[in-house]
Amino acid sequence: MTVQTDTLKLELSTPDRAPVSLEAREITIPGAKGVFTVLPNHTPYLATLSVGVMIVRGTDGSENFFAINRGFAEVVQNQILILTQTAEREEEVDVERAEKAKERAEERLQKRDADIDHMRAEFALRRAVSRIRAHQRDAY
Amino acid sequence: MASLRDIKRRIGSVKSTQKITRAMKMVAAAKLRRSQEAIERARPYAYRMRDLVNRVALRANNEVHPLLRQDNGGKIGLIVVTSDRGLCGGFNSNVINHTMKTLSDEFNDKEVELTVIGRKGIEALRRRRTTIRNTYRNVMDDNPFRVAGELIDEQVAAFLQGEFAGVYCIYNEFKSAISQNLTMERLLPFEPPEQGEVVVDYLYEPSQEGVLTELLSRHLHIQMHRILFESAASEHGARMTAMDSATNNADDVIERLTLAYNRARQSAITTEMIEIVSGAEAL
Repeated sequence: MTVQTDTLKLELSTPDRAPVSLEAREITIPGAKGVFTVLPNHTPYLATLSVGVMIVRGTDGSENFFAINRGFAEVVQNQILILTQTAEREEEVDVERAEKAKERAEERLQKRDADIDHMRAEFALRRAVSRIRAHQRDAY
Repeated sequence: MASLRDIKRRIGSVKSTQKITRAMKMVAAAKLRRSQEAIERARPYAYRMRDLVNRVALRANNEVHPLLRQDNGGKIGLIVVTSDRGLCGGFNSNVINHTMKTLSDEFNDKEVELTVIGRKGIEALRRRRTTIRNTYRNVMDDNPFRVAGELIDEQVAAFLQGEFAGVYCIYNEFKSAISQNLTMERLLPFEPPEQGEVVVDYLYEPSQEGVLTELLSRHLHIQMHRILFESAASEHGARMTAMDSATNNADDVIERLTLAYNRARQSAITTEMIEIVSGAEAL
């Protein structure tokens, strides 16, 4: 039998750097269909992720915010694997750049030109917003 | 015996060739370092993705997703990864020979369509009796991620339409600066998982089909992207090794030529002296 524990082992992997391992008590993840929170002894779960903020609440009461950009989350027996395109910790976010990206995306969305790729602009906007919110530690 | 002037000219020519090989070696070493870092960063993510796909395939039924289907008769898609530039030892010829061998052995009774990456492979395989479906050049200078996506989407579409029964890839896997591992990898269909203990299936969000579609196509993109980087790092390693041995070889040649030159000079002096002495005697 698996031992019931109250910690989650999180592994966060992105294509551009070495994977990060963290221990957590609770993890809030932006799923494709909505935000969900994983607690210890969660049922096996596989979800696609959207653009948003992931919150990792550590066993010591700390809170880490990550701006993540799509991917997958797998939960099996308190092991959580997050595969995502980018994951930026709150302190890594380049806020100035994110603010500029946000303005740019909003501008593009305002113009109702047919030749603007709305999907792309929409995603750019959501990425920028998620970065800013991760930086401000204000998620949901 | 070659004249003094001829030997001198040859020494000069070998020396200037050596300058080129030495410069190429240094350029390759610099590029190798960069591409080695790139592949080492890309691997952990790609491997985790592959492991995740395997775990999912173990839990999910083969019927639930068309990309997990095992037996649909049809042609074989073979992706061959070579380099655009030469002077890298056996790097490209290994891939090409292995491709030809695979065509005549393993896929002897199958119709195979090649998708060739890299100018060297395109040139060599066009000359032989092969069916080439698609070619890509200068992938690494372009946007490797976009190319990998395009290429895979095209192969996946052919697989889903039943045109391809399988998709394979031949490439050089990067081991170290001095060694590459020639590999053939199966991309589609996915390996049928060994039925071990029965495990609980996941809860999927948003839906099993939705997750699988995104996961499997994402996985293939990532693997193809990884393969392009494996090949690029291998290419620079192979070129560095080849240019290093060319530079050493030039040293040997120069040494031998210098010896021959000195010997020829010596004997020319001796002959001249004999002539002078015997001339004086005759007086």
